[in-house]
Amino acid sequence: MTSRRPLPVGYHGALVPSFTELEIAAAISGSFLIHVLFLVVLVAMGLRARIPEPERVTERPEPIAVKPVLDELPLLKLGGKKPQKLKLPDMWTKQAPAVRRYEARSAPSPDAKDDPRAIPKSPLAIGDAEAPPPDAEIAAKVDELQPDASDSDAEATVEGEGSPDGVKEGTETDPLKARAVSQYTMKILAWFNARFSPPDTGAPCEELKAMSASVSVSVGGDRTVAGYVVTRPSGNPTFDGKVRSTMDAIVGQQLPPPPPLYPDILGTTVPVTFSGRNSPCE
Amino acid sequence: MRVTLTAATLPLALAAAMPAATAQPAPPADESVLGELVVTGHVKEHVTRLAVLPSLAPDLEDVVVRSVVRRDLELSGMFDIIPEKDAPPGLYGFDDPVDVAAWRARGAEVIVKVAARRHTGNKVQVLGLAYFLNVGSDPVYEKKLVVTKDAVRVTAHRVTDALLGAITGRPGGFASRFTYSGRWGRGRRIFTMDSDGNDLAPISDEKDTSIAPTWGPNQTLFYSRSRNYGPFQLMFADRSTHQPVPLSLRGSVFSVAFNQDHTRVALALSNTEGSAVWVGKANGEDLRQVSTTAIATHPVWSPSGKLAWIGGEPSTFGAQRVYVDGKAVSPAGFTAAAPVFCDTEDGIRLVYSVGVGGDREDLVMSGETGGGIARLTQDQGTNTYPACSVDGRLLAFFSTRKHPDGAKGLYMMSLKRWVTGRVTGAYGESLRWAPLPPDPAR
Repeated sequence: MTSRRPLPVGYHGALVPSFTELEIAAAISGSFLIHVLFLVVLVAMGLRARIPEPERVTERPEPIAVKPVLDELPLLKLGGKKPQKLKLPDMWTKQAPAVRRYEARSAPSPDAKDDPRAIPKSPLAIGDAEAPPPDAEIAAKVDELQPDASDSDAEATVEGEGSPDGVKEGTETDPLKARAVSQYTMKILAWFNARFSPPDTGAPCEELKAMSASVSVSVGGDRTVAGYVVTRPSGNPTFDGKVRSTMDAIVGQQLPPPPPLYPDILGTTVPVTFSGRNSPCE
Repeated sequence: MRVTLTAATLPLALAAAMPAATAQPAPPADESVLGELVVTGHVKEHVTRLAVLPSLAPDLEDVVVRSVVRRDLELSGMFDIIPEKDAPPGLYGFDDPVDVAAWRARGAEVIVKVAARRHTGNKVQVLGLAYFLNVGSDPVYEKKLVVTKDAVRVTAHRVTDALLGAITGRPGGFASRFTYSGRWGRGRRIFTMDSDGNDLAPISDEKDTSIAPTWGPNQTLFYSRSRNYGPFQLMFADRSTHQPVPLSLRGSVFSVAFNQDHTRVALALSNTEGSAVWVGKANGEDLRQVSTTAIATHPVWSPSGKLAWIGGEPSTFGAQRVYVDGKAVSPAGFTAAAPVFCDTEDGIRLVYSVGVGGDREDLVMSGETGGGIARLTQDQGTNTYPACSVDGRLLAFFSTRKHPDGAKGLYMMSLKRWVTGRVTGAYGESLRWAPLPPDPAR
């Protein structure tokens, strides 16, 4: 009997090994040989194998006839989306004041030459007329300025409350309100003037300058021009068309506000007369 | 969400929210008062020739009153003022009569006489007269006031405003004051000064960075303050007291604006994306967001109740535009800033600045809703932060244009005559212009 080594505590495996050492060595050697044989076969087959090269098909050029046909649509212009040059409107600048011109006049002078041929042909100055400045603009004929009504020293001929410079049809006795109304009237007038330019065609110039048409303008509660009625057309289709186109453009716009101290001076209707007096016709 | 104002501000806001006295229905207008308008297409401007009587009185109060009134009338740009050297010889004392005929010969249409003399104690008597030469030799307007010596300058402004009201039907706006945020060391402080540049005074703490001031109910000054690089907090200053206004909304307060009758408030608050404009009652109730763009700031109310602000995208140049009631109204492609509404003689106008390249800005004006744009400045340095006078006749703004008195300063432009004058060398941001509190003596 062969002596057996004592088994460790808790061992429950087989008491006899399943394979001998010779069997294990033979299995490893066989497995190694199989792998080496597979590798040899793989290399040998790879050296023998050939991949056929695909045939290259060469096309021969054949001449054809081309007839150009113009497209009816315009060709698109080549270009990309360039940033547009943005520009603000130019600042308003005040115009230079009008040059005051003096009429050419002659007056006796101790510096005059003693030569009859040097006598000026312009008319003589009247009385102690003031000499124009040395750098003044001289014109052959200058219209006299109309005297300001306020320069009049005429006494009032109407008794009672009012102003010596008032008119018979005047109704306003408060000079402050009268001035405010006057200034607001000028403002409304300038507002309409900026939107109307008389036509320069459609009739002889003299007739155009004499034309006028009356319109009754309706004003809404927020000072918006609500509508209009032509109460007296001029009779000229061009002039009346210009008035109507002007008023059509004005409808919906807001009139300037009256002065805050007199908010009631703008009524619901404003009578307006369009005149061709300043027509640019020639 | 809602904003909670402190107990101190709540009465102010509630007082401002009190309904006005029931107005009597206006009588129907006399339609014949304007007469028939004859439209010829010819635009002609008439400028009233006005004389301000000189004075030889050595009294300081007389010199102050007369010089203030004369300068205010010059700044208004509404008149062709006759030079003092053309004054006819005569007596120009407090009680001396006005030689109407002599001034008429000088071409005057309106004569203004202002004078001041010492009264009893610490009081000064101030006189204001106006003559319309087309009416007669009697004054059409006369006002005598007795005020304390320290109120002489303000009274002179009030006399000017009253004279402008008598002459034009629209009272002036010189009894008013500015507020703005200006540099102070590394930070910014809030300043106030009179409408003629006098009495410049810092308001906020020099250690803080304070921006975007405006006046709220009862002439209380509101502004945003950052302390130690913290978020901007809404503050209000009542005389020397500065208190924070606690808000339930988180974020920096970039700007605040109250509407004309101080019943509504608009706030520009930062958020996670940028900033937004919120609108609600002056006491903080019913607050809702009105802006939809990534950034929205600098809200401002129009006299008719419209709300404008700057909105757009933060990173794109030219994407910041003026929005009025949610609609972009400024020209696309121009970076717009600092809108303000002006209640002018021709109606409500919107004025704002636009970037024109070269790190410069110019001022433009349009209708209340953006139509009819016109340029107010060009090739005159950079012009920023416009603010309108109470009467809508003047536009104040900061400019860097060349001037003998210095490059930077506060300038004033007449929206009637389009002439510009320098007021003072003060320079800053977020300019606002508001009337002085009513005279307590009246």
